[in-house]
Amino acid sequence: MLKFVGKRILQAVPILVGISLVAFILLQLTPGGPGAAYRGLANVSAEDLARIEAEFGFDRPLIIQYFAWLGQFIQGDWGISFVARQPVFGLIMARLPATLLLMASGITVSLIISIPLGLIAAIKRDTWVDHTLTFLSFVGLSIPVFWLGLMLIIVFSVWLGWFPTGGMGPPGEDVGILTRIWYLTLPTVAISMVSLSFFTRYLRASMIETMDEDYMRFNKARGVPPVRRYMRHAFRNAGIPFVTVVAIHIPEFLVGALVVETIFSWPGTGRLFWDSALRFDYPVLMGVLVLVSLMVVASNLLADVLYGKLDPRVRLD
Amino acid sequence: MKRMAILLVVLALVAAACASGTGGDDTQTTTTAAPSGGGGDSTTTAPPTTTVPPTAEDAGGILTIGLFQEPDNLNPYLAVQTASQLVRELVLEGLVDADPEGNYIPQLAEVPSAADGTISEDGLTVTYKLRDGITWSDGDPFTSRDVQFTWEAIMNDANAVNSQNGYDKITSVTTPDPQTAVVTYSELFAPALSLFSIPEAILPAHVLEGQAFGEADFNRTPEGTGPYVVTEWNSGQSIILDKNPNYRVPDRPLIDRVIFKILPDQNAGIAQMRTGDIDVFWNLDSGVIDQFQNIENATIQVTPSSNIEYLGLNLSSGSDPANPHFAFSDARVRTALAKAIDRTPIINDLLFGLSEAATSPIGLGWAAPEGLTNPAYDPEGAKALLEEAGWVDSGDGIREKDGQRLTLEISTPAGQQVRELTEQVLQEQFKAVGIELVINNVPAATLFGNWAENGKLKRGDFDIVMDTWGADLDPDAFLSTLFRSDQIPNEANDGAGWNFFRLVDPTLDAAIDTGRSTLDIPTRKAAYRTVVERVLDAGVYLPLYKRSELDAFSLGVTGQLPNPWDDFTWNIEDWVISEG
Repeated sequence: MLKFVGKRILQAVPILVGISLVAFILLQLTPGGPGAAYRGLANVSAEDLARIEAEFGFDRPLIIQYFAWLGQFIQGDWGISFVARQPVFGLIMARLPATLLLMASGITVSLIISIPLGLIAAIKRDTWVDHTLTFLSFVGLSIPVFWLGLMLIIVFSVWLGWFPTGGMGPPGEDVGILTRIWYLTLPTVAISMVSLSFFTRYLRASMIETMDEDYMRFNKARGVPPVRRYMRHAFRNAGIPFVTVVAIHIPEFLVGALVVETIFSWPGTGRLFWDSALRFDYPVLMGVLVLVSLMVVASNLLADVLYGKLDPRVRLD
Repeated sequence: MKRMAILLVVLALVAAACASGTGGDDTQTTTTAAPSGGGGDSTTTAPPTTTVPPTAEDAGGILTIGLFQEPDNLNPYLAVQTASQLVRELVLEGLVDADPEGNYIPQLAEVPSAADGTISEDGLTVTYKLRDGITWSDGDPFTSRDVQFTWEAIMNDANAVNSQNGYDKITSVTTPDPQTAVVTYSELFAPALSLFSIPEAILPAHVLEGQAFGEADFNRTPEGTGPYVVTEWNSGQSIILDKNPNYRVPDRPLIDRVIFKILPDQNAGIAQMRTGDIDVFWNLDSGVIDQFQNIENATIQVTPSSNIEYLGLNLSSGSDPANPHFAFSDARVRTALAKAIDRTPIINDLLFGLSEAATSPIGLGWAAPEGLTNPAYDPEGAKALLEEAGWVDSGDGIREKDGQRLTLEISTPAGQQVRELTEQVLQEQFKAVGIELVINNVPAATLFGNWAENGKLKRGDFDIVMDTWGADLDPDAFLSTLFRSDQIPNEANDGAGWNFFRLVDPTLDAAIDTGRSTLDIPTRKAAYRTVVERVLDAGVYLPLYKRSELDAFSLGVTGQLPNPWDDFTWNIEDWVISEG
């Protein structure tokens, strides 16, 4: 087990280096280049630009710049934001808790809702209950997150006034747990809609597949009560692929956070990333990209480990 | 593979964000070209500003201002974002300021003038008499050493400040006594009074000396001389400012606490104005005006800026002025274009009547020429001129000459709704006189890119550009970089300058030189009138409308005084907010 995890982490290193190299080159190739944050300013002359670029080291060859960046990155120096002129690591870490909170809330709500719905749809297969749930989950899968977010704000904040339009809490006040939940509600609905629909669909399919197995029919014939049959036998087996799908799916919440944080003024890394892209703030973009890559690799590893733990037929080595 | 797919999505989003970053870039260009803000004789729809100065009885309350851009940094010499200026305005001050009419007024120092000898006869020495009794928010006195330190910090290359323009013409800043700073220039620098002032400010020497300039805490929580100090900055959420206990004006500021709330975009601003979560929303897009107009208890303050939306015509084919443009080399075609434009539908329908037609590249301030008019809208006259120039109908309504169709390309930074609609209006208007207009919008970086990046303007790779640019209170830098013949970007000068019209006019060059050779206002004013008239006569710059800054205010906020030369927060110490 430990050997397996160690091997996977070692394998991840070249992947991460490769991703960072591609991202670095892509960012440098975008129109405007690294000096773009300053180029639009009327009071920045060509001499000023040359002076600033030399100070930031943009005048060096690209590959040298990359390895200089990589060397510092490994040592925890993620560079200085062009725009805020503050260390990138600190900027990102200041925003990360907000994103993790939103993701955790989204994942929790998705699971709490999708598991019962998936089970009911599978048990009541081909009834009107199943058809309704199928229809609703297709709607949920099809709604664009940005549109859903705006609609939630218009209906529940502007018209009804039930929830705040955005942010994590009233500015300048200490935020208690209830206020925090109140502010979390709409963003959580927006970020979990697609995933919870997807989870419901997946769990239903997985349950139906299991319920069609011979041993399930045998259980029924043997007179095992339905609740015990569904929960103990079917769900346990159907749950194994479901858990790994959920783990692999975690990065989707990161992508969702990018959109949801922007719509709901949520001060997380997704919005930091978006703002930085608008400002041509390359060091921050690089930092977030590498962090996201790390999280993707980590959730894949988590999925593999969980699979091995839950299913004795699978051996990790 | 799943993980690759996700990474691709993320990378695609970066690319999309960078491409759509054009909007932000343009905001920056516009607003730094001329300090954003207010409008003196403006057609403001805001409630009339109180005639009786507010008293201490009106004091108190919390004001929440929505920004759709997070300030990056409050150090005026490092900040890039336009929103930074608004917040900094509450904390840091310059030596002098400008009032809504464009006159310099004292701030930290009296306004130097030739009359009392504080500007030497040759204009090379400027003496600032600092006002008495000013302290920094931490209690230390403000002295001439702060002025000297500010200059030293700007000129220290290790500090990587945005611009040394003008400051590099200073040879020394001396401090004969704590209340006097003497600034000496190596050559006459006409906009000298704008240095150390709007949109910039004086830095506290006692705080920053010996600190790493770029990473100092000062850049987020500056010690200042202004009415407020930053008490809390929560990234992505809010910046909270409270009264500066050492502010020099008694009983000011009136509002206890100002909160700048960071919002992601204009939509969030609309929603929060409706719910009353914010009292003020800064800098509305023209495209969302109609949504703001029907918010009860709110009003839109319109403040003309010196920024002018215009069409720029390229006189040459490519970057070399020696190769004439196939159509625009003939002055009659340029005049025909001017006559074919009807600004009324653009202003009334696209801008909701909140802007006015522009007649000159300099729209405001002492240098703005008076009494100029645009050629009247006259499609028949335009047609006649085109006929005369040899452009005749090819049979399908579009004119041609020697087998060449009169097809012109118009470019503007992509992704800006009002500009795109304006292009469509122009397309119709030009078609009516037999000119085919093809819209080719590109990312801002492609349009404004430098020589090495093959920027379209620098390389002369366009027919017509639609852009915004505005003069500072002192128009010297603006006029020379745009119209002087030595500012035509080319291979030899590595693409320096922004005379992308490729206008060569010795009379105009001479007038610019006259304007910068003296500090005498009447002489300079006459010289700049000549420059503007030469540009308009050449027909290469077709002014469309004055860009206005539009800010939404709840009716409970009073005391604001629009000022085209400074940010709308410039007199925030006099604002009052009434509850409910």
